[in-house]
Amino acid sequence: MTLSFSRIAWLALSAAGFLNAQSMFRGDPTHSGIYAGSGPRKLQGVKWKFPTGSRVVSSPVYSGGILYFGSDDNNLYAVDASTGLQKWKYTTQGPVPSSPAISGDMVYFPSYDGKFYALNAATGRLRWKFSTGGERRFEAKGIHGFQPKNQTIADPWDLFLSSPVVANGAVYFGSGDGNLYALDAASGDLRWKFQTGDVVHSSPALDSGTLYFGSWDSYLYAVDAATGREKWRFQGGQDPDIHNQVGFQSSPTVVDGVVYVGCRDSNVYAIDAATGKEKWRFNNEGSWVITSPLVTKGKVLFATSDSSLFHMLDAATGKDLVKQQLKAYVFASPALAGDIVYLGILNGTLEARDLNTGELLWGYETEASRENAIWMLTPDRKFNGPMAFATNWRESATYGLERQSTVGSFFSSPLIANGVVYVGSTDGNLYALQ
Amino acid sequence: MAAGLHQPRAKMTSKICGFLLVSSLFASPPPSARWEGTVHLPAREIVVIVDLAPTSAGQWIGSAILPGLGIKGAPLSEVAVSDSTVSFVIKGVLSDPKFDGTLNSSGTLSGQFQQGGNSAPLTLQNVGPAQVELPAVSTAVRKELEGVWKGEMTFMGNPIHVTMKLKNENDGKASGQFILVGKRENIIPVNLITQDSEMLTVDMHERSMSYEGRFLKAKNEIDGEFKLGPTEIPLTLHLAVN
Repeated sequence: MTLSFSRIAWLALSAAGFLNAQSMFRGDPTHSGIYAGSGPRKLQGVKWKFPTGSRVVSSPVYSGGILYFGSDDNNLYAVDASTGLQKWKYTTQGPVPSSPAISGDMVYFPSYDGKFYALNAATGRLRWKFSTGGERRFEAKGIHGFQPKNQTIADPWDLFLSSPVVANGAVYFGSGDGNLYALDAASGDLRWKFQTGDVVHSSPALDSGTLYFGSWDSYLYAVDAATGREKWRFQGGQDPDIHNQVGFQSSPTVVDGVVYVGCRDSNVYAIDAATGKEKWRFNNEGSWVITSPLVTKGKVLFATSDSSLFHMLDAATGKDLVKQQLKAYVFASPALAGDIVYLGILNGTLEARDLNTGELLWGYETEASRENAIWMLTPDRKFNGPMAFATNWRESATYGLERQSTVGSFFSSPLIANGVVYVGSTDGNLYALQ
Repeated sequence: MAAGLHQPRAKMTSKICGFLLVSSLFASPPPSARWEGTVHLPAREIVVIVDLAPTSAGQWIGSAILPGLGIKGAPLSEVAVSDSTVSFVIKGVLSDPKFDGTLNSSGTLSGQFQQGGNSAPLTLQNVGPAQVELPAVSTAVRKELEGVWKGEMTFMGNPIHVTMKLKNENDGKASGQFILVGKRENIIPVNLITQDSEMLTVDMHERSMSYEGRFLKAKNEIDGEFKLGPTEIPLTLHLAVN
């Protein structure tokens, strides 16, 4: 058997794609969440853990043996993937709950200080920064039924920032000011911005020259990456009363001309990428879908928040193929390496599941979740809700989420590189599991 | 008999070995390590991670991480290490908390964590090799940036005349001075100067100030922002004296 030139060229491009595939949120511009090689089928243990000063909600990215990730201690870190030793850190004026993007010798990321940063990836020194209109969380009066209902209250579960995507000399990201920005990747100069009606913390996916992203204004948008012109918009559910079932917090993934995205309206949608027409929807009966779907071998994988279910749907029809009951809410997007799916859960467990059956292979529990110092978990590792959310008065939900997070929740989506799973936790650590 | 002659010597050797073994078992562990422990307060716990190591000159240095309090890599000062005691101050955070402790034969470092006039017991365990985070050091600046730069800004309605002096030292690092003249002259100590590509960063964290600007060669100016705490003020500097 001989390989044709075009086949060799295709293989070379694919290999290059995989190299690039680990340099932004969920691996690549389409947010596939699929990583080259395989991850651990059996857990040996913690290879190392890297402590930061606050929770790590950011999902790590990998480039050239270095992991890059943010922490809510205001820093972006570069850490040696094999040793867990710090290469450098860069301090901003706000938390960094987003994934950076690496392109060439630059690393790009936003901070809650309302700035977007470009650093020298080797040294961590500032190359340029760009001021957005300022960050904010999604907020509304009477949100989630909190009291007093005429008080505007920020949503404590809006805890990610939009992660950038880099392509064709531009870097794209969403902002709490409601815009999707396109900046010149070399200089930071504004190319264009696209205004939506509310907070954009969904990370844009890029495919065939079109950016797909959601906003808390209830729309999913398709925008031309070169011009910033809208191609179409798709409306999800609305909830004018308590604003609980509205908004695209999930970041879309694009596969074979279909955009797959979760929504706070409790649906997972499959939308034609060219037209914006709905192909199917899968309803989760009131449970948010914050995770980005993972699409492989004709299946759509995702997990839910309140109902705590891990689903595999038929990508063509949206029919449920496999459903596994988890112990707690899921916000982190699934990651795939080989035939194993890795999934972070808010009870402080990272699970490895078989791609074909959904069966649990192993679970790693953070020390904080095992200690369960303030009884945030029940003995069967479900959330002990009343101990976290005793009232619906004012900012009680914020404090409740803080209390729940003491178990070392995995909001961070796992990354797999060289057989090791890397993931951040609200206990402040980045873990390397093998 | 030969065996008998040798027997006492063998016993003596065994006793000496045993003494050395016991001595080593009860010897204090070396303090150079990553130490981790938890301060248990009535309503919360504070995890404290401290990295301690000697420099090649024998001087002890260290840094601290306090997960949950947003602190990573805070420098230690007043580090004092003796055969059996260790003390240090975590500098620049939480009103400079202090630790005084004793190295125990069990491999722990036990003592008191003091902050804001309060005190609580803290036992630190050796959890691995030290990973002391060293303070960032200044880079050199490009030749065109050396000199005296001047500009004007307005703070709370008051005009401020700004002078920035930059110079490369013999050790390959830049040094500088920031002078703000409003109603009176303020000479601001510069802690760190870095330059990457066109971007210049001047950090004056002792005064919660910084300046970041892009060098525009064609205009011979630096276009940037002066930060005072959370306040950001546009500031363009022009080269006054090379």
